Amino acid sequence: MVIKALLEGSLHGVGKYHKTPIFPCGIFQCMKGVNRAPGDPNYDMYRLALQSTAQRIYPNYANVDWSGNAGYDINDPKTYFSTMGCRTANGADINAEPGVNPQTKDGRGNICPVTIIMPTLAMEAKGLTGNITNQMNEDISQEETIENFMDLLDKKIHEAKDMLLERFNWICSQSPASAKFMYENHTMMGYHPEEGIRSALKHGTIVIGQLGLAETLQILIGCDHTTEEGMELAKRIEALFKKRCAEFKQEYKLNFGVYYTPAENLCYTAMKKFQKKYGKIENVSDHDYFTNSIHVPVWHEISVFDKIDIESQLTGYSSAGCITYVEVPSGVKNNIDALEIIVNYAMDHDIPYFALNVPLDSCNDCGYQDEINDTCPQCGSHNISHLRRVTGYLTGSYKDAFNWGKQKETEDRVKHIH
Amino acid sequence: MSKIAGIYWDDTAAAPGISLSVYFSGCHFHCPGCHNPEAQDFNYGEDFNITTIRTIMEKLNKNGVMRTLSILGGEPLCDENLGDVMRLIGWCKLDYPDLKIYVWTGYTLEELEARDDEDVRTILRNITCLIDGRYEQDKRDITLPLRGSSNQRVIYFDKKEN
Repeated sequence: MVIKALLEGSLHGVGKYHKTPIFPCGIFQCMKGVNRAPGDPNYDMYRLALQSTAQRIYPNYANVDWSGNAGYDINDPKTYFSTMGCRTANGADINAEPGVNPQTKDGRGNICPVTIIMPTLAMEAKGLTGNITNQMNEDISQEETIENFMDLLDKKIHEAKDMLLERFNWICSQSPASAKFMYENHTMMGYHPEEGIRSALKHGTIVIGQLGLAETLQILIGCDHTTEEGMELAKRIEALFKKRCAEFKQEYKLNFGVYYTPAENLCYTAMKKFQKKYGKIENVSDHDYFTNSIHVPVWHEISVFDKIDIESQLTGYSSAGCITYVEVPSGVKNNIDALEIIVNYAMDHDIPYFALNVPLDSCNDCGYQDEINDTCPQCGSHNISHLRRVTGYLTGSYKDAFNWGKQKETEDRVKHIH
Repeated sequence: MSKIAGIYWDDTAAAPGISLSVYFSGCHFHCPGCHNPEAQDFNYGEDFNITTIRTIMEKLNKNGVMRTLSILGGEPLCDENLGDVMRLIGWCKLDYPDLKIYVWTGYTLEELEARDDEDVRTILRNITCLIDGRYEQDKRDITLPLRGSSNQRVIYFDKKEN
C-alpha cells in the first residue's frame, strides 16, 4: 500500500503543472516470484513502477536476484540487494557481528572512495608522459604496453588502498559528537560507544573506483569493449580490481569494494588535464569528458539489448556499486509492455542496478511535458526546462546545473531504441 | 519490386512491446497531414528483396527477444506492395509460427475484403491486428493508442479461428 501510494505520488507530480519531482530517488526492487511476472503477488506494482519510470524517470530497478548478492536471506528484506540511489552498494560485511547476515544493508554505507583515472595510466604505459621528446615512442609493442599498463594499474590500486586506509583511520578518529544523531539512534549498524565510532564505520564500504575504461582500451589496443578483443582485456582489468579488493578485504578486515564511479566532476576535470598534456586523440580525448566507469560510450550507436549484453559482462566485478543506463524515447509512456521487456532483459542478464533515461522536458509557461527542443508545441514559449538524469540523480535543467563536460556528455547521448 | 522507406530494428513506437517495424514506400491516398509524406513516393528508399527478408528474419529474435513484426508505410496493402508484404509475412511465419504481426493500412477492412484478392485474404488470415482507415486530420487525436485519427480502427483477429 505504501509502495502504491509512493508510485502514484510520483506519477501525479508536484505543483500546479504536475512537474516531475526530482527527489526523492525511487528504487524498485525486482524479485522473481514477487513482482516479476503476471501472477506474482506484486506484479501490479511492477507495472505501476514502469509507468512511473516512463513519465518521471524514477524509479530505477534493483535486482534482488542478482548473483552478486548471494547469501541474502529471503525472509529478511534488510539483506535484499539495494543501492543508495546514485549507485553505491554494500556487499558482504566482513565484520558482521555474530548472528547478523553479512549481506545486511541497513545501517551501512560507502565511507570513502578513491578513483583511478585509467586513460592517463594507459598513456604512461605506452611510454608517453606528455613530454614532447617522448611523444613518438613507437618502440613499445602492444603486448608490452598492456603488461606495462597492468603493472601500473596494480601499483595505483595499492596506492588507492593506502589512501583509503589513511582516510578511513582519519574519519574514525572523529568524535561521535560529529554526528550525534546518527550514532545514538541505531542509524549506524553495530555502534558500541565504548569502542568509538570505528565500531560502526567498519561495517561500511571503502571503495576503489575507476574512470574511462572505454578510452583506456582505445589507447591500449585501438578498440573498446564493444568488440571481443576489447572485452577480453576489459575483463582482465576488472578481474585485477576485484582480486585486489578481495585480498585487501581479508588482510585489513575492512570492506574494500570495486566501485564504478559516477565521477560527475572528475570526468571533465581529468579530461581537461589529459587534453592539455596529450592533445586531442581520436576516440580518446576528442570529447569533453571521459566515459563513466565501464559504460559503453554515450555516443556509440548500439541497441538497448546489445548494451545490456556488454555491460552485464562487467557489472559482476563490482561489489560496491554500479549502474547500467539505457536511453529510451519519451514515447515509451504509451508502450509499457516494451519497457517491461527491456527491464526484464536487464534483470535476466544479471544487471544489479538498472535505470532508464527518458527525456523529460516541460514548458515553464503552460506546463506541457514531452521531449521538446526549443519551442513548446502547445503555447510556443521558449521557456523550457530540460530535465535529464546526468549522473545518478535528477536536477533542474541540466544546462544550468552541471559542468561543461557533463552538459556535452548529455547532448552526445544517443537513443538505444526507437 | 517494392521499396522500403525505412526499418526500425527495435521500435517502441509501433505495436505493444518491442517491434521490428518495416515501412513500405508508396501510397495513393495522400491524406492531408500524413505522418510520413516522403514515403508516399513509390521510388523512395531502398530495394525490398530476398536479402531484406533474410535480415528481417534474423533480427526478429536477435538477443533472444521475440519482437512483433509491424508493417507500415506508405501503404503496405496497395496492389504494388501486396505481393512483397505477403512474401515477408509468409517467410517470417515459416520460421516463427507464433509471430505477432501488426499492419497499418489506409484501406478499411471492408474495402480490403471487397477486393476479393487471394493475397489480401492470406495476409488477413496471418496477422494479429489490423489498424485500418485513412488518416483524417479533423479527427486527429494523439491520445488514441496505435492510431492517428478517431475514424481509424484497431481490429484484432482471433487467431484460433484461422
